[in-house]
Amino acid sequence: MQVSFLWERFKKGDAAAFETLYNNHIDELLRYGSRFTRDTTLIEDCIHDLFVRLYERRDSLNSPNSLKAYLLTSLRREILLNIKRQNVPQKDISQSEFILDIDIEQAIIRSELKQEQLEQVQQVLDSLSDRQREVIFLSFYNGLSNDEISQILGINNQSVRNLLSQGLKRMRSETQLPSLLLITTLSKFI
Amino acid sequence: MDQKKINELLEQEGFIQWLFTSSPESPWNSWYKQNLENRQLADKLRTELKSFPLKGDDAERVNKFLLRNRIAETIARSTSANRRGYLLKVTKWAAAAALVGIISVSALILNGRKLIVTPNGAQQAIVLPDGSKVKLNSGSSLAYNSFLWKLTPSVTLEGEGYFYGNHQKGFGVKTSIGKVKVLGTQFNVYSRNTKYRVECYQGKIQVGTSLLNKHEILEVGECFSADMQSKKVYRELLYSQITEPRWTSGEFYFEKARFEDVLNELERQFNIKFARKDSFKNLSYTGYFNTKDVNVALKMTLSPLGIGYKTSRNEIILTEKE
Repeated sequence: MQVSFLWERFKKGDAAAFETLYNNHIDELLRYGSRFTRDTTLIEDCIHDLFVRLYERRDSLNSPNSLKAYLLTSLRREILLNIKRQNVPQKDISQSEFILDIDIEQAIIRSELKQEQLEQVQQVLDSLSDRQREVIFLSFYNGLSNDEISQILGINNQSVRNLLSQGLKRMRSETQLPSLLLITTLSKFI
Repeated sequence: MDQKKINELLEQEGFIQWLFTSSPESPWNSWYKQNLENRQLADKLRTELKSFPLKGDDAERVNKFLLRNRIAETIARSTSANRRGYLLKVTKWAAAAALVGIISVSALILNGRKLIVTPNGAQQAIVLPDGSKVKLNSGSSLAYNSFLWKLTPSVTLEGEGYFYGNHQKGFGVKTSIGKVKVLGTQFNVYSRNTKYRVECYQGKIQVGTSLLNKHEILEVGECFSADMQSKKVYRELLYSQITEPRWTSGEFYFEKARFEDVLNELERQFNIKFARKDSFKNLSYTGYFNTKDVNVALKMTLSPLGIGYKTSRNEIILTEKE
């Protein structure tokens, strides 16, 4: 309700609404963007372009069901196109890499987990496919629904569920860590 | 918190999903409503999962304030540029629309062009766009534009034509020699070679040619003629008993006419061809023929001047009588 009100105000050209949109979503966008590349300038440029385009096209935009999913989708497309243009050998968008690295040094300080355990988690994460990592990230970190994730990735709902459950199952079986620990660890240190 | 219980829960299918998505069709919803303990447990897990700080991302490395300003600047610049672009776009479309307009109007104008030609040996009646009529004599042509009629009602005539019927507003008749302005009337216009003649049968008409300094007004029963060769103009009276040109009923009267004109008229009316016309063209003829029978007509015109003729395949050869 509040979101759609904000959106309507933004569509009418309200600068304050636009600013609020930016402030509400910039952290999430930056975080999501940095999963694809370590090139901060590229991410900044993409976010810049995303918001500029959003503003320019506000008249013709429909109200998205999920604003967050809409913004993440747009950013994802923007970043992947740019990565492609930078001719990093990226065969196509579905094969783009998705970095999900635990900052182990920080994790040791903050959690009760031992370094070996953290490294084990990281190993499992590395063994997952990029898309599995992305689904886990979107689901766990951004708290997005399967529908929203399927919209962002451009795959159907069932595929999202499969990716997620396969990923989780594998992590549980290979790390032998309790799932909650696993999730909270991931959440804290990615 | 009971770690064991939590672990058990997390192992169960759909639980983690439900924690994050709270999807309403999940069976975990009823579990959630069962008791307070469940609710507290789930809520705690949810907040823990959703409110963690992230490490290793770029959120802290990027100056969000600067980025926001950069976006605002670009937008400010692009909106002013867009306005210019918008104007350009509008002008572009306007130009395109104008072009389409011009093309379709010219198409209508071109399409509105009408040309009626009456061949030799025939006469033809035409209805003009204002509902009035023209009878075209043999070997004549009439051109007008039905689309532009409302704007400039006028016809271009070569040859001879009799205009009659009800004119609504009047119109102009142009020929290569002169111009007639109709003020609501019946009149005949003859314009062939160097000869021009206008006869007024009803109403009033205004005549102009290059030989006149100003327009002549013709009233009923008046006739104006001009000869571009001798550069002379005449005003005469018509025979009072005729109410329309005689050619329309197939009768041709000549008074001191150059015989060349008579021969030409015969050629046109009967669709015939004379040979050796030049030997007789300067004779003067006063007389009459009608279009009922070509042989009678030839006799009536040729014999008074002592001219004989032989019919060959497609020509009539004129001869001096012995």
